[in-house]
Amino acid sequence: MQDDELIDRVLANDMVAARELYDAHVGAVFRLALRMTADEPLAHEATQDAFIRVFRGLEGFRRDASLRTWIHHIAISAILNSLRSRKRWHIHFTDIEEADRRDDVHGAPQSEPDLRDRLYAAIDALPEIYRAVFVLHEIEGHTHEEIGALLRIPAGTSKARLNGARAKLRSALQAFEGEWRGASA
Amino acid sequence: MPDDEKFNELIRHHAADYRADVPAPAEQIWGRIERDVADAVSTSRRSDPRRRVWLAAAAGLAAALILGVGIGRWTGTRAPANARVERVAATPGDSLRRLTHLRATAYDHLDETELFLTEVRADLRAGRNDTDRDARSRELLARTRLLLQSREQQPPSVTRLLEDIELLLAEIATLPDTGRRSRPTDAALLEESLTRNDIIPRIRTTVPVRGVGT
Repeated sequence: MQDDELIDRVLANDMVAARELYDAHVGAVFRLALRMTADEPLAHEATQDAFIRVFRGLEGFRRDASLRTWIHHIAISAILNSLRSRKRWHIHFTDIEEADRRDDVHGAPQSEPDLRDRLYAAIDALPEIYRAVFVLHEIEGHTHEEIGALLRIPAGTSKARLNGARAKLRSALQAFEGEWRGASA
Repeated sequence: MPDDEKFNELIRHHAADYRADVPAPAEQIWGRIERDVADAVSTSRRSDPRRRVWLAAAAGLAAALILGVGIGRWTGTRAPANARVERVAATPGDSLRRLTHLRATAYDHLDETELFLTEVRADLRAGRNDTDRDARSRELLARTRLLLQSREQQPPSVTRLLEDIELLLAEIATLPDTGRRSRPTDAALLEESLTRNDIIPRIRTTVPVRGVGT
C-alpha cells in the first residue's frame, strides 16, 4: 500500500517522492551491482542505468509484484547489461594469487589475511559468469530456475557455474582448510 | 557433516557480508540521474485522460478475452447432461485454433514491434523526433500487455521477449516529448537497451518459427 502511494506521487510529477523511492532502494541496488561486478565505477554506472529505467518504466509497472522485486529485476538486467557493454562478460580466470597480492581488499592487511578476507578476495577474483551465479544464489537467494531465467541460461548451467565457483573458492581457501573443517566438526 | 556441506555452509555464512558495508554513493548517482528522472516523471504526467481511457479499454478487452476463454473451457468441460453436447463442448480443434491464432497474433505484433524499434533507433541516432512515436509506442505497449495476459499459452522464450519489449516500450513512451530534439543520451540508452537485451535479433529468431507450422 505504501509503495502504491509512493508510486502514485511519483507519477503525479512529485520529485520529492521520486527521491524517496530512490533513497529507499539505492543501497540495495548499488550493493547488488558491486557484488556482481566487483568494480565500483561499473557498479555506479549500472545503478544509474537501473534507476533511469525504473523511473522511465514506472508508469508501466503492473503492481502485481512488489516494487522491490520489480526494481531488483531491473537492477539485475542493468548490471548484466553493464557487464556486457564493457565486454567483460566473458570467462577470464583471474589469478587468485594475484588477487591476494592486491594492497587493499576491504581494508584487510595484505600480509595476514584471515579466512573471511581471503574469501572476499577470492569472490572478487571469480570469473564474472561464476560470480554472478554465486551472488544471485548464495547471497540473493535465487533458485537456479530463477537465475536461469535472469541470465537466459539453463538451470543446469547455473548449477554447474555455482559448483565451479565453489570449487574455485575452496581452492583459494586451501590454506584455511584446517580452520573451516574444524569449525563445525 | 561432510566436508562439502561444511564448506558450503561456511561460504554462505561469510558471503552474506560480502561488500555489505560499502555505502552507496547515493548523492553522486542522484546528481547524475536527477534530470533524467525529472524528464521521465514529467513525461509520465502526460498520461492524459484520453490515454488512460484507451488503456482501460485495452484492459477491458483483455479481461473479456480471458473471460471468454474461461467460459469456453468451463462450458466445454461442465456441460449439463441434457445439453446438446456436440454443439457446446469445445473440441481439441477449437483449442488448437485459438492457440494458433494467439501465436500468429504474437508474431504479427513482434514483426510490427521490430519495425517500430528500428525506426525509433534510426530517428534517435539522427536526432529526429517522430510525431507518432509516443502514440505508437503506447499502442504497442498496450498490445504487448494484452499478449502477456495469456502468457501461459505462449512459449517461455516469447513471454520473456514480450516482458523485455514491455519495459523497452515503456521507456520509449516516456522519452522527451515530440517537438524537442532528442538528446544523445536518449539514443544511447535506447541503443543499449536494444543491443544488451538482443531484442531485435531475438524477435528475428522467434518470428520465423511461424513458417515451420508450430
